[in-house]
Amino acid sequence: MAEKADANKAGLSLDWWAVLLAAALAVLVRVGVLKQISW
Amino acid sequence: MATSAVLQSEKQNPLAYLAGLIPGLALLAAIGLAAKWIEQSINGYTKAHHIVFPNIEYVLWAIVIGLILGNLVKIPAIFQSGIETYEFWLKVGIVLLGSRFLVGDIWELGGISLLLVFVEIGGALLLMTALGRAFGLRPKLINLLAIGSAVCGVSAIIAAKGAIDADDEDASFSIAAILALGAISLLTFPLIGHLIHLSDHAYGVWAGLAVDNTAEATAAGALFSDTAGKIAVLTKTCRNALIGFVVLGYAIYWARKGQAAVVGNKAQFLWTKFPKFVLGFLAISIAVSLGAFDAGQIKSLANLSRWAFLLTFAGVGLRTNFRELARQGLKPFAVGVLGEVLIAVLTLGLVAGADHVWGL
Repeated sequence: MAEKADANKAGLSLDWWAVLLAAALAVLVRVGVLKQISW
Repeated sequence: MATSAVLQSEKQNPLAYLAGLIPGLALLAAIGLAAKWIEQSINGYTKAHHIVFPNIEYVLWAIVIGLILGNLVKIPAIFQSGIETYEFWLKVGIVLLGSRFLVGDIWELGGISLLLVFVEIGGALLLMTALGRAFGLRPKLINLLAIGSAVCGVSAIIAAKGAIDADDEDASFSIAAILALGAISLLTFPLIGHLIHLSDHAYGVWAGLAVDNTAEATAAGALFSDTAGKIAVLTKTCRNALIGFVVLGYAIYWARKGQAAVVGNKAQFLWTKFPKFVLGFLAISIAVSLGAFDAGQIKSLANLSRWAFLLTFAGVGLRTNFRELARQGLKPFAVGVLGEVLIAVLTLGLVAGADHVWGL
């Protein structure tokens, strides 16, 4: 994981991108843009 | 692995990079949806015809379809970059899975898991080192196999490779061995768990402790039950969080022998190796515990996590290439298998003990 972070010097690591996307999804769920996601 | 190379090319042309992901992502989604459809169809058919048949989770179907395609069909290069995102979806899924844990649960279960993880890491490092020496393997190959089986699978091996200045060949072999053993554990762990009637919690802790790669640990847990999958991820996350400490120990050892670069700022080293998605997992759990989401929203977050894992499981099957694994040689693989079997037994004993004491 960390090596990937090193490799991606110009930006965020894969881990941080994953956190950002998950956070964005959580915000969209919170504000009601994404509703009742079914499985 | 290759995701890093793809991420670098992303910097040159982000739009072209994103467009290049679409075919592989579509393939992951198609496999995942087909797996879900097969599970639902079998359940529907057996219910309608009053046939008693065990529920085979979509996880297994996704992996099996991926394995068949990955090993019998030559997947065109256009799909590769998208397929490699499976690890990204794993991390997104883990962060969102934080919504299914209150902070109190993490504190309690995570505390027990962490305790077991310390014992597992110590035991696994000792076992693999002793076995590697007994079979006469190269010292750095022994270290990589020990780190891979003790901590965090592929990620730990990649992190350690740079830190101890190991050969590419040793790293490739260790990764192949860990992935092969992960594939074997997907087939064996759920069967053993059911045979010895482990509870969802006990099985989840066992899978999180004994299965090395995070994707396989998640899948092995989910193959047993939804709850077991959740617990397996929590336990595995505790293991992942310790990756920096173990790699730092080996880096210092090889630096003292003059065979690796000296580690300067140790705190910086630990932070670099720390898996950051663990912080996202904790942040979502804290937000849920503070009441930031209502019940419906929590369910939506949990389901988003499942969709992310669906893509992951399809990727796990696709990237397991048996021919590639067979090329890696028998002796180191024998060490891996023997070590993993012993670690599985050791961790099963640990879980049984913890279950007895704390009632997992």
